[in-house]
Amino acid sequence: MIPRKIVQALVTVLFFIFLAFWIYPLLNLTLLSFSTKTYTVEFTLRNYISLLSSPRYLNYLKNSFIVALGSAAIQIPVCLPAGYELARHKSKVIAFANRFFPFSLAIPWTVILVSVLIYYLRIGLYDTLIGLIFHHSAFSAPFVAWIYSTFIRSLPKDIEEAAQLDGCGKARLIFQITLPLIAPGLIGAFVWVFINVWNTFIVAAFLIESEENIVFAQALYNALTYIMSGGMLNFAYAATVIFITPPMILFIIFRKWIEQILIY
Amino acid sequence: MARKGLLRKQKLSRRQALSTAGKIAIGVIASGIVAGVAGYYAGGGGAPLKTTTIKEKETVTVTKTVTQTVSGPTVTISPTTTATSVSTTPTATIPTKVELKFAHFYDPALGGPFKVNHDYLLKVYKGFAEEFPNISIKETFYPWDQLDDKMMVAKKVGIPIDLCMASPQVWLKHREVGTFKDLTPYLKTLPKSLIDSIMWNPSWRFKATYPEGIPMNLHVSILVWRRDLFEEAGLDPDVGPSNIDDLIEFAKKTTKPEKGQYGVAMTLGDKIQNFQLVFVPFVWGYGGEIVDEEGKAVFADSPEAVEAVKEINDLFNKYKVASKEESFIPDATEVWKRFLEGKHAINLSYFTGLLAWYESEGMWKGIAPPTEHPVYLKARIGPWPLPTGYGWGHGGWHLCIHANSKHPDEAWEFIKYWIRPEVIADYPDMGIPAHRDLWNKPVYQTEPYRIMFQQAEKVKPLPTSKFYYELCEQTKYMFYEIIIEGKPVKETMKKYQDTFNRKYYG
Amino acid sequence: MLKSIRSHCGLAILLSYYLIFIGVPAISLFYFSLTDITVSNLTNPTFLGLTNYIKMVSEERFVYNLLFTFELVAYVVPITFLMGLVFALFLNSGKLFLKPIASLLLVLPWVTPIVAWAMSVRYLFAPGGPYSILLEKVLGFPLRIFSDPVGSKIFLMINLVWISAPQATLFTISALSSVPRSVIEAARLDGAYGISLFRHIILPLIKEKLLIVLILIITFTIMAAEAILAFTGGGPGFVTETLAVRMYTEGRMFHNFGYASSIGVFLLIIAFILGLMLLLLAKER
Repeated sequence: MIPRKIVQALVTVLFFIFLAFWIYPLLNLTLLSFSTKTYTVEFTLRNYISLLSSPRYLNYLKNSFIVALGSAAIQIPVCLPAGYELARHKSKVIAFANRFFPFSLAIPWTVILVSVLIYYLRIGLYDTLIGLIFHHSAFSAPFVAWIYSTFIRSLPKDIEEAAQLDGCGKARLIFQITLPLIAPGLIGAFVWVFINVWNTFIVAAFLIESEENIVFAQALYNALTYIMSGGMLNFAYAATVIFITPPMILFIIFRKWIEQILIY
Repeated sequence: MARKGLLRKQKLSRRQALSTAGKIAIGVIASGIVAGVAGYYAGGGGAPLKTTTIKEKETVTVTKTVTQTVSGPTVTISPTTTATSVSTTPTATIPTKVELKFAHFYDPALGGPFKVNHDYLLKVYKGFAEEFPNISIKETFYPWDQLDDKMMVAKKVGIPIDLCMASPQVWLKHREVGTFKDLTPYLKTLPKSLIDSIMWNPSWRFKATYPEGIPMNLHVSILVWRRDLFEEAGLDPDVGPSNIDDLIEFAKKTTKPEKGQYGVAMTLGDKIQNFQLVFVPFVWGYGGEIVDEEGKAVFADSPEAVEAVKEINDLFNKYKVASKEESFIPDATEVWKRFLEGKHAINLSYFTGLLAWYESEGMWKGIAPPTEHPVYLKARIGPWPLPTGYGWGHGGWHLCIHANSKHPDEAWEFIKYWIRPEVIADYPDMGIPAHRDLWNKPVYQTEPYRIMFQQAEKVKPLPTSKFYYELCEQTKYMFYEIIIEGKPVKETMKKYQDTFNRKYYG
Repeated sequence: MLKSIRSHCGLAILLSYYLIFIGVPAISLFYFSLTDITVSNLTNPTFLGLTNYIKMVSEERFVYNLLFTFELVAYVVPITFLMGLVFALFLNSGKLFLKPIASLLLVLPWVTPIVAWAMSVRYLFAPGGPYSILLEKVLGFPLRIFSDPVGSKIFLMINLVWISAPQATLFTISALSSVPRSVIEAARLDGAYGISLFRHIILPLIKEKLLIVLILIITFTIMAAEAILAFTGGGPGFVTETLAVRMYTEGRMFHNFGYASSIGVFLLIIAFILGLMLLLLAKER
């Protein structure tokens, strides 16, 4: 029998080799963003400079921020009260919701995009960022509420009971007492939603039209098919690297909290 | 504990909490319902759909007495009508500041020809601003293959756009939605010679897009080949194939699979270009038919069309001069790029709109923008080598006034400015000049332009159909089944013809 | 009565929000699929009855799309799920001193936007690219991702697994770490190791969470129009087209909203059935 330590070491080494292949496309992307011709490797910041000084691309970045932040932020006031009720109250409705909400993500929402498009066209939310925010936040709202409820359920009830004895109203109770206590859960869900909304382009492809409102992911998809000459390809890579950075940073910082989301 | 101290401050009673929470809930639901219903009626109860009828041609006559000698170095045009005086609407009041929103696809960030065209546009804006200081242009970019349907949706929803570019292929769809304003009253103010010179353009000549849009250029499909690869294969670099047998022979000589190099390539994988730049040029090159007047598909019933598709299939499966992997790449630009990289010798999906791009990549010099001494470097263009001698051609992108425009008069001023011969002459995407009377400029009396004019003489515009994109989709699958799955040509064509007709024509 | 209203108003807020933006469109989908609604007749479409559905089912391509959707799920989901499990177990073993870095790198393909990933990967897998050469050595035949139906399917599946395995890993790690340490230690004391520890102790405890992971992967694969469009664009012909991709082209490109809605209804029903099947499976055990 080969000693366990050696097996473990071997497996570790293999794993890291595998990891190298796993993320090579990203490395490739980053390397090429620093050069100006497709298959050569040099180092120049020209792509980044022209990207960051282009008001159009900065506008796309801004739109992506607004949509992602807005979607994640709006979920806090909308989902937290429901999450609290799911955790603390009892009734047939709540029991049913507790069964159903975690599976709400299983509805393929790409499916209803056509219907949302028609709906928005009629209502006048077409081609607006707020319309996008509403859709994104509504879609994962039940799931986020359920996440909140699992965190709240793990809190000891005595604090809340004490607060209620002192005459604390329900709204205050939820937002001023419970919210800080489940901060990790809030932040984890917030970052998770943010990353997902930041990365997706298909909803925007359906619901957004004019230049002012395009989000970065959508712009990248449009550019994907029209990269003409070598110089522009590297520019697109630089744009991609910039695009990847916010979700990456967020993920690195808040990783623990995202992992905790499904813990209960 | 700090928390208990916090609690003491909150003395909201339960009743107050109930009423606030209840009010919030009821308010949200109620406002949601109200907003939904109100918005529904507001958005839906708009003006009834404007039905644009194709108006009768007014006093503009098509001058057929355009005599042109193509073989010689000069092109002479003898118009039979004299120019009438330009009647401009008098502007008595001091013009107020107007901003026109212009939707097009020349996004400079995409580089290549887009940037080249955008630089030209900036010059046009500048010149226009000098003459009309109160009108400014604001650009908004769209990807070129989404521009048309986004304009249609914009019309429906009321997004304010003044000027836009549009594709003639989907004009029937545009007419149904009413995307553009009728330009007839404005066209009356143009000099007759200008109208005649534009009327020559196939899009107007065949009444395809008249009178809602002005053709800005003339694109025709042409052949392009790599001189250096020809030379390596022992062929004369300046002699292109003049018929299908030559094409096959030259392709065989330049096919070197071990080097990853092939004789020919085409854009069969692209959703739209498979139809526009392979199917149509080949079918019409053999004299076949694609759709009838209603727009129903008839290509399987046309023996020439079947022969054309058989020929395409043979290039892959019989003579093996084309690489399936290369020709089925989903994006046409990738295939065009591979020509630049020398991965194939002859590109069968080329058209005059790409001349400027290839020039910027060193394929030739002095063709786009045109000069009096063009030089072929690595590549050369030639006439379409199929029996009828032509592929397709139409007035490229059209400039139109969008139906939602609040400033149509000012928009018209811009259009009028841009189509002035001296302004439009430098338009890089122009390919062949849109206006006939520009053809006798000295810069166009060169050999490459002679070839292009020759093609332009005979072309038909791309087939229009209310279901244009859908037709492009069907041919994409058809090619896949025939070439990659090896299904029999005529039966597969019939299958797709019937599928298309059944789905869209009932 | 008052009390029950008071204790449900938060839920009411959430549900009304959800209903307005997701519920109503979902229900309207059924209505739209019975009409010929498109851009020009947005407000007064003609009622067509089941015409869209009949057209849909009699189209050969539709049947193919349906079958391919199932095929994609059948291949991608188990592989992704297993990979997630293996990675999670591996990373959780605790002995890895570079664990934080490893787990970060592992998750990167998910954090990367699909479009960016596709841009990079298409070049790497094109003939002559490093990955295609590598795969050729492994598979024994050259991988033609644009002209070969098998090649493009393999390409698509590899990439779908690549971008969904990270999220599966994340969720599985969370599930694994929800098992209290005390239970594991007690089991170890009783002599359970490695595989048997996993199978008999851990697995039953996290069964329901793993089910959620499975459903998430299935849903993502079914509705992965984005990913498929970015990687193969539908593949040569319609080889890599799923129903979700059809919805996008019919809805956004052709503006055949009615037809696209009927495809949507179909997809909803499929997702519903799959979800139900899984729920029942879970209940049985």
